[in-house]
Amino acid sequence: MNRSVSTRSFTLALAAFLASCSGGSFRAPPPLASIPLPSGSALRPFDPTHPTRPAPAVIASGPSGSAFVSLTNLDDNFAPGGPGMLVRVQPETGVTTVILPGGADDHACTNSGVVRNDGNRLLVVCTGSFSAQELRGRAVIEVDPATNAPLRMAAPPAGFQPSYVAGGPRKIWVGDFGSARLYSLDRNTFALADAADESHPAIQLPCPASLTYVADLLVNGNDLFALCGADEGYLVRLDPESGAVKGDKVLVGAQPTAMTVAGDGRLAVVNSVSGTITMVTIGAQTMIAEVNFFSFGKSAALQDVRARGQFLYTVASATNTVQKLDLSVKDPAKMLVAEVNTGDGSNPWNILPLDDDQAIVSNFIAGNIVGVDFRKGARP
Amino acid sequence: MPLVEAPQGRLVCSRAKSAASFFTVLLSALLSWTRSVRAEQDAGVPEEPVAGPLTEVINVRGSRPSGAAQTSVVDAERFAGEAPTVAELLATSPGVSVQRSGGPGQAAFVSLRGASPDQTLVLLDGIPLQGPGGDAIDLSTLPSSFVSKVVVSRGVLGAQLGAGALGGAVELVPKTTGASEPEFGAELAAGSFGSVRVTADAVVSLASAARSMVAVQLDRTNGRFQYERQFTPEIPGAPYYPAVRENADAMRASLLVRTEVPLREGLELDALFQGTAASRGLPGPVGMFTPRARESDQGGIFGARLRATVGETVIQARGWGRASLVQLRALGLGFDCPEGGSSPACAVQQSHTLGTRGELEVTFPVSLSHSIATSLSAGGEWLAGSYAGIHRREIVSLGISDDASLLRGALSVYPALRLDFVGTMTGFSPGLSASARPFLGTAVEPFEVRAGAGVSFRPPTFSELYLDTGPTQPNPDLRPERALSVDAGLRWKTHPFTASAGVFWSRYRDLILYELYPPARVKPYNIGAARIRGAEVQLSVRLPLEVGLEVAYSFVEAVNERPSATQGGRKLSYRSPHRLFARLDRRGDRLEGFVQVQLSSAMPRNAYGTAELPAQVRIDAGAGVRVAGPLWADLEVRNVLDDRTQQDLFQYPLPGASFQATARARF
Repeated sequence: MNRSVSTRSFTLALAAFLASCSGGSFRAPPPLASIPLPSGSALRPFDPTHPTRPAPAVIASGPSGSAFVSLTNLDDNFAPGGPGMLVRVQPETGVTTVILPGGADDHACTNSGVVRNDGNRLLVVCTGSFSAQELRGRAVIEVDPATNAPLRMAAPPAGFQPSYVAGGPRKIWVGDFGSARLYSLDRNTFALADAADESHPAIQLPCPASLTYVADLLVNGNDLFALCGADEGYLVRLDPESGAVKGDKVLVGAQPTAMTVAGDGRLAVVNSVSGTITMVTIGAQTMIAEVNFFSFGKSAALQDVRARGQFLYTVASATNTVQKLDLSVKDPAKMLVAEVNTGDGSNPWNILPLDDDQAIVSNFIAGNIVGVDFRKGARP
Repeated sequence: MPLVEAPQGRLVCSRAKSAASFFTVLLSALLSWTRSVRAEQDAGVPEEPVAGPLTEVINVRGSRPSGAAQTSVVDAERFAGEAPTVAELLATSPGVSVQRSGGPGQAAFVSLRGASPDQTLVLLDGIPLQGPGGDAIDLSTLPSSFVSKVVVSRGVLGAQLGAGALGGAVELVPKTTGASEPEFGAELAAGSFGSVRVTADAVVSLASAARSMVAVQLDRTNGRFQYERQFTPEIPGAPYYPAVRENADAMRASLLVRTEVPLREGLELDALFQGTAASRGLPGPVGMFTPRARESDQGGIFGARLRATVGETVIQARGWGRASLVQLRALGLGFDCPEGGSSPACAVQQSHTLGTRGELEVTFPVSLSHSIATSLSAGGEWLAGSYAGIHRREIVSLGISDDASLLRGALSVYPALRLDFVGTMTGFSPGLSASARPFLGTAVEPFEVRAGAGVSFRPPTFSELYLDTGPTQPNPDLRPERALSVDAGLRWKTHPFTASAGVFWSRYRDLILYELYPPARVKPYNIGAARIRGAEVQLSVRLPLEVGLEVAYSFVEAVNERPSATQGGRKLSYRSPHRLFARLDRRGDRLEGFVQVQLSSAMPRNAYGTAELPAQVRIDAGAGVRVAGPLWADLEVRNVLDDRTQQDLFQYPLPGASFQATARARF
């Protein structure tokens, strides 16, 4: 999904290296079938009478085959009930390490729903509460994956609620949950850049829907891509330096939720409510979207898409399933090559492929991480 | 932050209907991120004998006439020994779609002509019924044994029936006290899934020529049926695995009392009370089970009517009130509440509703072939809910309708006009319908042509305005939904053969749809628009040997006219383009039996044309014999094909083959 170019390149190079060393396809150590996450008092609920759930969301790759999982730590009304957390997971051993991105102040970072690998750093988005009366807990935090230590923290500009993040060469771009706007942080100083003041306004995305928000961000090469989350979801290309919009936006589907760069260079976008994958070919000046490139027929509610070589990996929370699609297959009826059920009531949210056939999945409601093997049967 | 997608497309309006259905629909959406038709059987509608057609196409005329509305009457007596639910009675009519939530005892809602359940009025003896928050009524809360007829009137009938009748109206006509002799009836039915139904009724004479009818019905089921499910549904041909439905039990007790008192010549008083109490499990959709969630409801309706006839003038005064309490327990927002869970989100959720109305209606003749009816009603409705707060609004309605017979009875016209004040909202509903029998006195005299047009509105429900829970954000600024409809039809009615065919075209504006309210909630807005057109055909043939054939076919094409690049021009979700009901039955003095088929074609599962619910076929059959005297014994098999893979619209599994044995007597 939204990994920076450097990370992706590094991962691909590493995979290729390992594949060449083994004389065949790279095989990651098998992940554990289920990896528990902190629960109960370990989640440090603000009010002991309002227990919280780990509610793991986004997974980012880490060093040495590790993964970092953001824990939103929400109460049963889906409001922040404890400090936002990050968990470092070693899939094959199940060893977990809890990280508090907000440090000692439990209210400095809440609802930490997104973590992105930004090269040698992690970027954590703390979305905070959606109550207008509670503005604490909103931030973007930089974490050192080597030491698990939070390094720098930046609060959003007034009126912004951070949604997604992507690191560019000189700016770190952050989307808003309440509008189709972006702000940025200076990568060197971690200070506000765009939207810092009137002379440095926020970047307004050209998305027409009145109810829209920034549903994902991705930096790829010289482009910054932003998804406008709305019933009419659009993909917008911008300059990662200036934030200037490049060319026309393209319609991708209804309520897009995630995007990634496929092995053939196209962008793959998953649309939640229309249950479709849209493939976008990126030209020098234009973007061409193949809407409904692949449709899921069962009200799938797609939440994530990742790419690995010729394969796409998707997450369908409504059916508690994850899928593997082979883009080298031209017949759409045969493109879906494997599907795995993550368990009743699990509500899978994100997937991180470990190799072509193995992956770990975060289950938002079940509150755990599960390992899946697409070569094995359909049942969990 | 994970996203909550807007619940997609129950129908035109993805809105909460009853608290139960709301939450169950919401669960799936969240994790993956919604008057008397007075089609009361009036003096103008001839009573069909028991051996008459299953359904009848009629022109309903009453004190608030529906004019030439296209109407079907379902005679509940034709289903004696089958113990159908109200939803199953309705499903025999054209233009009707029943939306079930799983197996026996679970919620069911009715949709007419592609409108949403919230856009369909359901009335019991003229009293409008509502679910919690003013949403659509759950048909499973209505005991079918109390019903003598079900009258389905289709079209925008706000001018005749009041705000809300955008798709039409369903009138449940309760059993009457009409028999001159005391009458008693009892029925015991038992069958699959531990289902038991006990009903009893009695009509007795009281002092001063007053007559009363008392009926009770008790239902229970353990709901543990077997079904088959896929774990990897996107894989073509993925295997099905057997499963057993859990936490789907239901128990309900209902009481109906009706009294008619002739006070003196030309002056009658009648009163009705219906009370019900129930408890049921809320099992959740496949893959998102809620094994501890439960719903309980208690409710009652009381109405009294005084009818005076002075010469040719009829004056009716009526008052009614209804009250309900619905409680939801252990129903988390997207998860199963733990046993004895302390989470506030798992606490008991309560919703109290109360409605009252007083009505005065005067019908007077202008000439021998021309009469006018005027009405005035006023009242209010109240809601007190855990997540909606306390709210009330006043309702005042003024109506006038005309019934004129022209050209020596060959042409009848029914103009009507109604003004409704609902809280701060005001709506104006004009309507005009006409029927013609151009061949009176000829061999083709039974041929009739009819047409109608209407404009009306539906005010937002309390739920849409105020329900503030979990991912649902209320919107107190909502405006009413509006609709325009035109229809026309032909009818042929003779004793052995009755047939009708009609077409309609409707346009909906300002439809209330739940949209994502970034980032994690949904909120209703007046952003929807649709056009729906369709056709309805109904056929009834009486054959020799007391055999009858009934066929009802509906075609609906519902197109989304919302100005949206992703939805605009696409078919509305959850509307089956083709529905067919066919039934062959025999009702004799000693033997009876039936076989019936219900078919619905594949339908869109979302608003984007990218997912589909497959076509479904269900065949039921049964037979009965009169054992001795008035005692009958019946055996019925449902879903004869034992298809255990069927699901309802919201991925609730439906039962495979089931049987039911019934013993009944009437004397």
